Amino acid sequence: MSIKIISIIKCAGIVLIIALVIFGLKSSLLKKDILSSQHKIKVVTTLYPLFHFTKQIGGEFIDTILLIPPGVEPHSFEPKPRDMMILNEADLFIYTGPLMETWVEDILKGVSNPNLVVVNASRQIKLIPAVFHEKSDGKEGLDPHIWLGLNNDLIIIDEITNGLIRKDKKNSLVYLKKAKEYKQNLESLDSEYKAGLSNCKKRTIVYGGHYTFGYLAKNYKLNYVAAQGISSDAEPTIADLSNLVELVKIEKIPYIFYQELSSPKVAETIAQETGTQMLLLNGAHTVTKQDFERDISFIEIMKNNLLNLRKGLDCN
Amino acid sequence: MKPILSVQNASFHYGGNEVVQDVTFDVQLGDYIALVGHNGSGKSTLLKLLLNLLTPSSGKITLWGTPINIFSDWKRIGYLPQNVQLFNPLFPATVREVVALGLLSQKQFPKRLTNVDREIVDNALKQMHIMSLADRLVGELSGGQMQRTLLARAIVNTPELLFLDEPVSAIDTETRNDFFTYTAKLNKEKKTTIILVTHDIEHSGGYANKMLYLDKKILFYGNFGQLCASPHMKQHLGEEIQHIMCHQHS
Amino acid sequence: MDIIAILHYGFIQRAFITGIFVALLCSTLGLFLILRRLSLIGDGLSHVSFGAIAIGLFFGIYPLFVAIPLVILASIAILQLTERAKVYGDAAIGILSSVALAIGVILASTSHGFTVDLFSYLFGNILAISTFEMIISIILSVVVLLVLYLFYYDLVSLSFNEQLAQVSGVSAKKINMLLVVLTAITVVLSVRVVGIMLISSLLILPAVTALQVARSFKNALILSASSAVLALLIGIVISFTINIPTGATIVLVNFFFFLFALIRNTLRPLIRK
Repeated sequence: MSIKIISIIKCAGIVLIIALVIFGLKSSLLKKDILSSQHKIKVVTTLYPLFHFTKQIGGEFIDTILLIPPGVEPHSFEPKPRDMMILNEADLFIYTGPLMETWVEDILKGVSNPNLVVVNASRQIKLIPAVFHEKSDGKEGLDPHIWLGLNNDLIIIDEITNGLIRKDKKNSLVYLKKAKEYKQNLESLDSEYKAGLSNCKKRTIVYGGHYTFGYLAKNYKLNYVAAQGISSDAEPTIADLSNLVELVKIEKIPYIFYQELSSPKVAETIAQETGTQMLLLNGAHTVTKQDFERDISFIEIMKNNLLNLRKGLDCN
Repeated sequence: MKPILSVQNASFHYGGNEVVQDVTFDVQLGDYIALVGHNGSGKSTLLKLLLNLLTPSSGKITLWGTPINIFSDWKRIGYLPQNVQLFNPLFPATVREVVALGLLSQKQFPKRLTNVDREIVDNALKQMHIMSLADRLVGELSGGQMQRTLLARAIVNTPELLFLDEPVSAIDTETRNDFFTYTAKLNKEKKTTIILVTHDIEHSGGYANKMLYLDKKILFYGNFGQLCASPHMKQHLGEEIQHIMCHQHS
Repeated sequence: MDIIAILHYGFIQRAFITGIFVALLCSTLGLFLILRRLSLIGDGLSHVSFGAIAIGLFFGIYPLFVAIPLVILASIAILQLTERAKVYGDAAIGILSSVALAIGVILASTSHGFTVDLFSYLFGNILAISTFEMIISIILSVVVLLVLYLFYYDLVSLSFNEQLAQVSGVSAKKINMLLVVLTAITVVLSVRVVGIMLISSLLILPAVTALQVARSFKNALILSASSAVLALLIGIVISFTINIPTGATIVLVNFFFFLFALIRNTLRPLIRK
């Protein structure tokens, strides 16, 4: 390769990097623009369900920001300086809980915003332990995926509403009204679930992803077995996989459920080994870029989950 | 007689400095040339130019009439590099394996070594008196043993033209003597042309028939008769050294 | 359930078969890489994969079509840095690795987001290998090992001393490029199958183990390959017996082999006395 060509490549590389940096900055500036509009309170949320709830309650009276971009796994999210800047300018910050967003404590230390009200959505919620291995000694750890229990969501809605009212008393009636409406939607969804899952031939959910649906399974009296633990870094062992395979064979389970967005390799392995098929069970940790852009509703996600559960568990 | 190696006005720049300046000389079949100069005189660089390890900034170099940049008949060449440039002491090759690499120049893709090749390698090992070291790892060798190994590698393909870079600067007397005896034999009996780079000017008369004295430019190139008769060289080298060299040579 | 019983599972069989081929491939390639101070190239190129896949997803192109050429280009760039900029191999790898990672992180953090979780697509799992992946891995191993066999003497000569090799008619440029391009392809394809941890360690550990005790170059290759395969087999069995993650166990077994070889090497001169 001649020296000229190398120089050209070097220049191209530098231009590319600068372009990307500018692009990244531009996107973050756009975020900032949203925050600088007057009149409305600025609410920053971490996970998509919180984002969605907040938007439903606050409507056009607030500016809602989703901190963890679509497609990014919240368990592996790392906040950046720009995120700190956003929090510095926000009025309200809503997060799921210290077990889910383990980085929140640290980032709040670095934020200097006396104006900021922080809402821990799980404050009033009793966390249940994750039952990972059958012979669990209770030391598996608590399950942070509270939003998948519809009863928990009612409490979360209240926490969000209180937070909004604290920052914006003027519109409190609106917030209370919208919250009530949304809670009614959640309650009817819960009834659908109860009815839909009451009479199923199989009562065990075999999940080829990391442990997510503890609350949902408990609420509707289903068994839930996941291939991996709570942390998305955890890997299944040979015994984990072979136990799941045997379980599927013994109970003649027809469908394996897989996780949203992550690679479904583990679910595929179990499915291939047992000759079964796969169905999506969306834990709503995050949503795809497309879904985010069309403002997908949490209820829609859960309704799809119900459809898949009814199919997978052979319910009538 | 056509020269084996012909250098015409070769120069080499490096970072703004001219390391080799306008060098012109020919090498004939059967020559044994001592390429001498103090450190920094450009002799290693010139050697690399002659081996196509570097490209001259200007000038022409030909091997057997072929321009060096398209020369591909490397089996006719043998090269013993300077000891310091060597290699990773953990390199897991045996003496035999390293010497065998010298036969690569004869091979086309896919390169394989035959039983005949193994015999040739063994012969080279015997000639260098290192047959007993054949299965030792090169990292375990002493300086002298390594030198013999590399020389064995350089001659295993019976080259017509042999380049030796500072071959005896850091080794024991016995190896050194063996070395000069051996190369003299090669030169006289097999007519192997030899170019030996050294900073040891004084003793070059003991083995070479010609000297190329380099200090970026060629200060002298010729046989020892001419060297001893040259007042210019007497002045440059100093009377004492010239006397030693000429005395040795005769 | 005992070890014989789990051999009936397809995913276990694929783990063994794919693992053996990938172990053979990486341990052989790795020996040549270690000798040229390119041992971290597996790690580095996997980060480049990450950046390349991010770029592919960003522009909506099937990631592998972007990853393979970009990783090959990166490997050549590493080569150029070592040859022209006189940067040592490990530093060159570090440069490209961190740049690629940075690009990937920037792209992954744009407010537009992605349709998939980037990290999960990057990290394969030896227990979750599909039949298709197994076949690709076998073909890849056979092809690369064949190429290494055909160019064996060129590679050895070049690894010993580049100038001597040149004067023997070996084209340093071509052979170096061959080596890094083979590595690039190996990394891109294998990382998705067995994950970066396993690939990176397979490119390094068996080779350094072999270097401790090898008695010739051929011997070093055989030892490297054997220790990799043995570590794989033992690693899978142990991970099953004491119920711990398999990939990590294989890495640790490789490491223990290295320790064992190191100790043998250190004690050898003492034993002689």
